[in-house]
Amino acid sequence: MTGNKKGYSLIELMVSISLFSIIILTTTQIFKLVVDGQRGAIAAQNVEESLKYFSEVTGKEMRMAQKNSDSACPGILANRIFSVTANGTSSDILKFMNRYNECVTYKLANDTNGKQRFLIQRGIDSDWITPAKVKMDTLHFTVNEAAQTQPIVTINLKAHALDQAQFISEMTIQTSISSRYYK
Amino acid sequence: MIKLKINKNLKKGFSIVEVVTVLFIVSLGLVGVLSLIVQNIQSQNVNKGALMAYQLAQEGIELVRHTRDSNWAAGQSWQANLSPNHYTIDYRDLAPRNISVTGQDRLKQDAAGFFYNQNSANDPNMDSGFSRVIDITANPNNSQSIIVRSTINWKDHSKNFNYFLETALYDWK
Repeated sequence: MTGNKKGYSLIELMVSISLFSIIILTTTQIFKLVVDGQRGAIAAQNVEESLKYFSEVTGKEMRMAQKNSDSACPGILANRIFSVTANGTSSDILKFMNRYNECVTYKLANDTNGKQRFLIQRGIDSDWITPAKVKMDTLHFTVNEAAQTQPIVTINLKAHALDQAQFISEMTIQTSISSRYYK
Repeated sequence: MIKLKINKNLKKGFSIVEVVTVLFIVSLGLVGVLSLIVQNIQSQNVNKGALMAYQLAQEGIELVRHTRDSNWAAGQSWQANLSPNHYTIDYRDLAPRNISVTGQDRLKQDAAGFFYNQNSANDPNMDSGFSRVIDITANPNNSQSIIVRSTINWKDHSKNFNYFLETALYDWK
């Protein structure tokens, strides 16, 4: 084969392969970073939007809750607005009568896939308020209806996105609602 | 042994200026992409903090409103305990407290996740990273009204953020 000097030497091949793999590795890492960042952003957005929707739906209804004057709703003491009972360690149940005289229950419950979601029951209707891809971890209520004070309820809800550990974007929101019922 | 034969007449290759230019352009692109990722992750954290802060600020306003409403229920002046000053207030004792010590406005989080203002220095619960101040001032446009401002301060990656809500309260139901 003398005279035929075309082709690459072993060293040339090794150098080019290692250079090539370094470049490929770096670009894949950057690409992975972008995809992961985006995935985390989507998870965070899902959690934020479901919590926003939750407070949108529940806030006004709790504000406008009525006194259970003729014990129309079971489970609430007479002449009280709110009732809180424990539902396991991670969740409480809130009961009250809304402004349309419907008996309302707020709680966490497992859906058919075993994922804990926020459930509203109004009269005979009930539905999920939070989506299947966001898991509610804890839901706690504190009610203060002492004599000669305005009734007030504090809601505390912790949620995270259903994804791998680094993308769950756990969040706790808390707010208090002072009743607008003055009779 | 393989001998590399270098043809002295072939002077093709890149000059240092060309190499530097290429490296500069490539690194510009990389820096652009990376800073975009970093910004994306940071803004996502800021949004998260802002939503929590909004809820806590709203709670501050509601608690002051609750104080006014309870004044009515107890047959007191509607402005009792609400004279112009800086306060902390939380769901636990439901009464505005004058801020006398620095750091008193920090919100702590108990085991169940509830946010509250620390009462004693040796409270074992963790700091939530948020602090809340209620500022009550006289309403310049109406002597029978107060202005309530609820401000939340928090830190994210050593950057300070704040969020406030403001409302006027009257002696009206």
